[in-house]
Amino acid sequence: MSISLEQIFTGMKGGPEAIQQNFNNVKNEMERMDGSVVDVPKEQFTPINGFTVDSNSCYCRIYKFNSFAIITVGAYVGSVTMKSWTFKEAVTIPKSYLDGFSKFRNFKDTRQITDDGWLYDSNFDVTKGLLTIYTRGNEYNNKSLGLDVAGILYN
Amino acid sequence: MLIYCFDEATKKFAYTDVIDDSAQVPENATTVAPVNADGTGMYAPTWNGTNWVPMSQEDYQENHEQQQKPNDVPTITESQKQEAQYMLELTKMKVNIAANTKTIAALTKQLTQTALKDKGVQ
Repeated sequence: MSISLEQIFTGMKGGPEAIQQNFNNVKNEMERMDGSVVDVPKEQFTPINGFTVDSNSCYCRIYKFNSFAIITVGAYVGSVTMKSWTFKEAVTIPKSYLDGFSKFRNFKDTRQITDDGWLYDSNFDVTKGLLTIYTRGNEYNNKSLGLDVAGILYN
Repeated sequence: MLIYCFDEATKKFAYTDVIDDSAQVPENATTVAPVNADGTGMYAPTWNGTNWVPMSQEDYQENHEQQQKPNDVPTITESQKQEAQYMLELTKMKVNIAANTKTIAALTKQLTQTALKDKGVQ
C-alpha cells in the first residue's frame, strides 16, 4: 500500500481541506485494496494427462487488485502413476479468471510431502491456468496427491 | 459455459476457459471435455473436429514424461541403498536391545523383591 499524504502543521493555510484530502486518499486506497474476490467453481476444474480429480477438494480464490492478484488454488488428484523425477501437467482452471496476468510467483517453496513421507513439487502455470506435479525420488503407482499453491499474479 | 481450447495449428489441447452461456463458441474451442468415461483426463488430446483423440499412455510417457533429475541430487547406488537398509536394521535392533534391557532390569528387580519377601516370611 502506498498513500501520498500531505503534512499538516499548526497554522497552515487550508489545513482542514488538506486533512480532508488526506482522509480521501486513505479512503480511496482502502477501497482499491479491498479489490474484488473471485472463486472458481469446483466444477470448472478439469483433470488432464491420466489424472482424476476429486471436485469436492478443488478450490481457487483470486483476490484482484489494480496491478496484481493473489491466488490460492488446489486440488486432490488421483491416479498418479509417474516415474521418479518427472513433470506432468495435472489440472486446469479456466484461463480468463487470471485476467491476462503473465507471471506467477509462489509465496512459499513448491515442495509438498505425502503422509508417508514422499516428497514432490506442485506449481502453477499462469500461461495455461494449470496445476503441475514434479515427482522426486519416488515412483508413483496409482497414488493420490494434494496440490496446493498460493502466490502472486503479475505482469 | 466451460470451453476447451486447442491450438489452431496443431489442434492440441491448450487450456480451458469460460464464456457467457449465450456467446458463440470460438473456432479454436469446443464444449466437449477431454476427459475419459472413467473420469481420467486424456493424455495430450488432439481435436479432430468432432472428438478429442488422446495419446496412449505409452506414447505420452515416451514423448512428454522423460526423467529430469536435478544435477544437485546425488545418484544413490545399490550398495549405498543396501548400506542404508543395514543401518536402519541395526538401529531397530539397538532399540529392541534397549527395550529388552529395560524389561530384564524390571524383572530382576521384581524377582529380587519376591525373593526378599519370601526370605522374610521364612
